[in-house]
Amino acid sequence: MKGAKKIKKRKAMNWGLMALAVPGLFFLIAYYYVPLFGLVIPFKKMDVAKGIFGSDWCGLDNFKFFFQSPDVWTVTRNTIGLNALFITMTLILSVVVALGLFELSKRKVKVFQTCLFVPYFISWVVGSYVIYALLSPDMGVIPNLMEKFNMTPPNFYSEPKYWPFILTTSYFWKHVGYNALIFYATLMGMDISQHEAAAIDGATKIQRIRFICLPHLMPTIVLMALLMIGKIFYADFGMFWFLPRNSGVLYPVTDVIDTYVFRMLRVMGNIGMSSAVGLYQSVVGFILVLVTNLIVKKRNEDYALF
Amino acid sequence: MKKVNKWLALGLAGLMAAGGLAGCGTDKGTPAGTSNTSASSAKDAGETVPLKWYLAGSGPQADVETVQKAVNEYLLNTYDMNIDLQIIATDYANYPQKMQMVISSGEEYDICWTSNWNNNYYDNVNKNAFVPMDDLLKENAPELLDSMDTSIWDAVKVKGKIYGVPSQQIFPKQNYVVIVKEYADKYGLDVSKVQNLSDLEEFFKAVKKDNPDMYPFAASSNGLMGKHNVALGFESIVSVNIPGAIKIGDGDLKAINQFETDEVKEFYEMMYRWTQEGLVRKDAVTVSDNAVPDMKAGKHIAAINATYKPGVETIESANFGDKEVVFATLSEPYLATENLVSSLNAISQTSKNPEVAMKFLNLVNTDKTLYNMLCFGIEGTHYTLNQDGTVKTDDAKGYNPNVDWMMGNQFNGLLREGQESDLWEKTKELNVSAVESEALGFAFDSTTVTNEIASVSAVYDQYGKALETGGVDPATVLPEFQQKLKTAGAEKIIEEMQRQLDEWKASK
Repeated sequence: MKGAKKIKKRKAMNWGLMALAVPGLFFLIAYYYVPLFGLVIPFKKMDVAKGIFGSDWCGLDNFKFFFQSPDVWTVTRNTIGLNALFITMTLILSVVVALGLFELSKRKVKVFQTCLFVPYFISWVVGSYVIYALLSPDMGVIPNLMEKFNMTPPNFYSEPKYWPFILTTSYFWKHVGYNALIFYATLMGMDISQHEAAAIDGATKIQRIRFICLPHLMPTIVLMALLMIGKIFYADFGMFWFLPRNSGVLYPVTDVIDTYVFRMLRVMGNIGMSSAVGLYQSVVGFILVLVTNLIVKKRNEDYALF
Repeated sequence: MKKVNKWLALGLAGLMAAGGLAGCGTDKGTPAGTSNTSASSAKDAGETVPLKWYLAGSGPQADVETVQKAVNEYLLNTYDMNIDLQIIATDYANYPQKMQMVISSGEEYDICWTSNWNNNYYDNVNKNAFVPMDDLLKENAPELLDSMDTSIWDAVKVKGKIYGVPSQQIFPKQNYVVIVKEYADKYGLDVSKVQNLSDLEEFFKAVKKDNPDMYPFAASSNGLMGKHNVALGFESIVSVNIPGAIKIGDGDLKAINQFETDEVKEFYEMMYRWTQEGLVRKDAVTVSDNAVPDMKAGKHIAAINATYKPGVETIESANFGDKEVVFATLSEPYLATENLVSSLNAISQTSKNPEVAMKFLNLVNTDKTLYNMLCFGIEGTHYTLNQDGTVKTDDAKGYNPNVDWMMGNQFNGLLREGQESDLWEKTKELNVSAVESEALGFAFDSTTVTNEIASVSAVYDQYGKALETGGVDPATVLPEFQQKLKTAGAEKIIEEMQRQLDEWKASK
């Protein structure tokens, strides 16, 4: 009697858990699996009257325009190049900040933590206006300051050479705090006796960081890097779209595949061509994740994601 | 207590599931939502036929439902037509995106507004989004068919078929510059002597000298080329942003690349000079609102626009914050195919009742009462009539879409307050007296060069707008732009244009 009740209870609990999982599963299916049927669109000549599946196949015609244009190289280079820059630099900076936080007292950490974390919640739309307030040729803070010091300010929105720097800085501003916190949390989970032992053995602070903290952080760093690489192709559309204010002159350094697809769909309204570029984006992203994972696996099997 | 928690958890799970469902609904659910509305597919006058009409403009009108109801009643009582009209208005900037989504998702609707500059007519026809309406017109809208010259109908034909009803209005394009009168007077500018935009350079400089915070000439990312191409002496074949143009007055119909002409080069150079001297905002290319807020705020005192027409004073004066304005035309009134494709209403492939939609469009364009009801709303509720018969609108009353020229034949419209009584006569006169393009009626079929057009528009996006607004130095950037256009296939587009032009000319 008692046993039966127990089983019943467990069943009821499982059912409850299942119910909780349903929305998540549903979300996953609706947003990640159902749209997979859309993969036929790049290979179709879209005819509205016939619908997606009824339209005629057109082979690789939709890919032609993109691969014929010089843009394919520019946007791929920008996407991979800028993101590689962001990822390596953010990881390095975040680790440095986390190590710094680790050395601080608990109360001070609270203050830094909050300050560093806030930008993560600010949307790029707001961020873009902050940047605009700083750089706008007439009213911007920086051009006006430069004029005060008798320098001729550049027109930031029509000179591409400054933008890799501006974008990277903005990316740090938004993400370093968040990542640093994750590393800080990892450091907090470290066995403090190792530090004590090292200190007794006469290890300097730098040596302790080098031989205790960093090895301890390594799995998290690799994991974060992998996650970030996986997201390269759909992360931070907002940044690349809003910050340069869609200024055409800046495309050579700010246009990434994401913004290119969006512009294509908006300007051309050609769903076949934009989906073709979208598919290219996914394929490159997929390859990137596989390759990175492979490299990690070669070095240390435990760190790899799969 | 435990029970409560369990129910709470269940409730939360349910809520989340509902949220997921709702999200999914907006994602791709439109066909499911609309399929039942006209499943009955009623065609006899007895049953109500739903009619969905997409329009651009300043956005949704608060009291549109009252107007819809009034239109339904009016049509039922006068024509025995039982429809349930639904007007969906979206603002100009978002309209093209909205319509791309509506069309791509296969949503069921009946009529949508289209043009060659917003929600592109040719693109949509190529996508087979609209029904060819030649037969529909003959059977259901003979009055509408007769109300316009065949040359107008010919001009909107694509591959020999009509896909949209052009709204009768001012057709020829006559580029002009508008200047706030106060400044023109103060600096002794005689607008009657202004023939080119460059004639204003000294005037702008003088204004700038006394008002260093001002940028006399308005420019924005919407581009200036479309507002100035007739003055520069060419008509575009697909769009001003796509290589391919005919020089005005060229009887041989030679297709050229406008971006390689001296006129365009000089225009770019002038704009660059103007930004350097502070006559134009340096970051005009990042201004996305057509610069109207800055015009209203008094930062700009002059602007150019595409189409000079009787009554334009009222509109431009409002743009400049109700200040008095003066005009100088920069070209002759010129009529080309592109001007006839500037406002059309098309019937969707997904419409269940294209005949009813056609009949409705027929009435909108020929029945004055219906047309004015759509334009202004209901007398007494949304507008009042002045002594002289002009309309006094009031935004606060909930219905003032101000898109008469989008809905139908503007010559059936009541006059707005401040417009002169012979406005429509003058407009009609201008329509007739305009210089007609040698290629009037020629419409380019872009299907064979879709890839090239996609590529060159991407190139234009990168360079064209910045050059037009003077953001970059044409000395270095223009050659690069021209080179990139070539790589993207500009020559192939122009060759194809020439081929079709020659064919068209031979068949004439």
